Amino acid sequence: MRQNAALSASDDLELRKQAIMIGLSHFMSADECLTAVRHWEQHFSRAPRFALQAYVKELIQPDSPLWPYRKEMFLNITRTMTLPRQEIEARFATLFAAEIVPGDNTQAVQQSEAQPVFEQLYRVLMQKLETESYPSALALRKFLREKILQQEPFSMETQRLNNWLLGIKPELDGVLTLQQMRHIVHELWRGSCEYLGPVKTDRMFAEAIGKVEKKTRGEGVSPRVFL
Amino acid sequence: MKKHRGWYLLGTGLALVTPATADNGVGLQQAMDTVWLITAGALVFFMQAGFALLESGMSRAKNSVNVVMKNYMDLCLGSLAFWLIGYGLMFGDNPTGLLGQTHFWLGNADHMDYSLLFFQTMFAATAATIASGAMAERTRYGAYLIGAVIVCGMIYPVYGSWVWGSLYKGSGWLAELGFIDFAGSTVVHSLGGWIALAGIIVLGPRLGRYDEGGKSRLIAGHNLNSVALGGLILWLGWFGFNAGSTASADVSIGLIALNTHLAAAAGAVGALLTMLLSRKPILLTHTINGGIGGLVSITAGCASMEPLYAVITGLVAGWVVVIGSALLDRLRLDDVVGAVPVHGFAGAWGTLAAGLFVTGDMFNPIQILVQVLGILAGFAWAFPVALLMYGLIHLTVGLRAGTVDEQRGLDFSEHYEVAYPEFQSALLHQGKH
Repeated sequence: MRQNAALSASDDLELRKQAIMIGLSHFMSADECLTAVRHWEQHFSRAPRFALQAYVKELIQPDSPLWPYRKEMFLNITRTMTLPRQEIEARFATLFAAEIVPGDNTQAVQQSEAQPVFEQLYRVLMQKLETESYPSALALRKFLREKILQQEPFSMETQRLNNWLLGIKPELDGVLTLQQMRHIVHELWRGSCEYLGPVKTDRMFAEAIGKVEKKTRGEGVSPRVFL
Repeated sequence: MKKHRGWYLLGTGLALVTPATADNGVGLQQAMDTVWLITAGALVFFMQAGFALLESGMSRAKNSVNVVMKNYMDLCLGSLAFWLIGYGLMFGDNPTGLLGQTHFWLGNADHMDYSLLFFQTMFAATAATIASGAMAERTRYGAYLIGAVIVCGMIYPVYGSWVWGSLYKGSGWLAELGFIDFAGSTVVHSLGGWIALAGIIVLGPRLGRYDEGGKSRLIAGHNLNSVALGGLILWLGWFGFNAGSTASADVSIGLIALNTHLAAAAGAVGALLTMLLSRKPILLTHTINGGIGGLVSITAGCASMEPLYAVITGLVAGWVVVIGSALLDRLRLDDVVGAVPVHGFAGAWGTLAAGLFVTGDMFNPIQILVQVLGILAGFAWAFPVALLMYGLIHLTVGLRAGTVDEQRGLDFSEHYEVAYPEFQSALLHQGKH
């Protein structure tokens, strides 16, 4: 029953983006929906479900002709979010198939901008982990590989990711989606909790985020987007 | 609580007499009783502030809003549930000895009934809030509140009716046996402790609380000053909790308040001595928990033992709290604030002590057997029912927050606001500010 419940903050990012676009499609063109969902991804995707109300309020300014329709817009989105996955995907395909190549330009945070920041965050976190406890860092790399690549079939891409996660290669040489990057950071946090404890982990993450934020200021993507 | 009945009957008798013909002395006594009961109820209400400070202080900063919100809302929802169903189940006509069957959603009743309902509502809220601290930092807010409503509306009142029911007709089966639990070491505290135990079993420990070898890791609370302040507020509130349970403004309040105070002091000393003798660091959290353990333990026998035995009861409770915390840790049961040893274990010990140290009837084996039976009955009722309740909540709406939410902190993921926005540079998630 839990699986059928409304999408929560930790549910599939792509699916929630699709649900928002479907919800907005009654009021906006496909391009406008795309801009709107980018705004959501950038500023609200990590927030709890009920932050949607704030999102709609921020999206529609008082001088907009859509101002009287905010309530319907909000209800449309929340209703869509409670639908089963297959139905959301089917509706999205029908509504946006012509305009949008899936997994491509719906990305609010452009992968080309995000990936260097992500790689830097990963590097800083790993350095910190190794300083804290080298055996734990090694174990953590293996833990990550297991968690990230367990379900993936073998391919050159997974092999490259495997080498990068294990520290065999310093550069990633591949493209990851924002969701994959978030997944890796989250699993790293989980693993670090197991090996170093949650208090050290939170402190280490906060320090790493601060450091990368300083280094990448002006690049348009905050490392916080991966949390 | 046995005195409630006499007090109540006095009250109903008075209700038949018009104010003009009422005996002024008795009327004054009744008014004083009411004032005392409401004042004591307000003191018990203030304990909620103590719980909120203590529990949020023992949690990490990223979960502190969530802890306070749980304390706040379990009081609100629990009070409504107790008025709606709980009071009737606990104090209504009880022909079977198992549960009350009248006086639901009380209205059009005697003034005394309202006073008593007010006072007892605070007790029910206390029983419900005990679990919140134990289950902190990984429980979904809505799921926890569902549990709190069921605790106040059903689990607490049913057991309460066995010991304190009924005020009207019939009597609880444990009350008939002569079970002593004056203000609720078992009825309120042990029951809350066993419910907390069931909760933490269903939830499992916080991420990283135990390392891969099963060794416990300390996850320190974010504000030990508020823990200390919370402990002191609880101590103050307990004077209302125990002395208010006379339900009448009579001279016995002095002994009850003194016993309460001495047991709390002895509890803290007991915890301190245990840490010293076992060459452990002298932790503030254990010391304060020791004091609260002393308060919990004296709650059952505060009206029926001499001060010397209150001190012994408190001292042992302090030891029970420290040892109980270590035992839970060994079993890998993650109780954030130590609610199970403080309320569950110390409550059980206090109920036994109430049977051991009865003034004029010390160490009566029959009384001790009755006390043991009452303690076991409390566990046998509350623990499996709470286990089932939390299990069902977990299967349906989900009791445990997701790991992403645990990472972000429940303040952010459940409430979208953080407790200390000025110090956010050190936080991973900055909320809406």
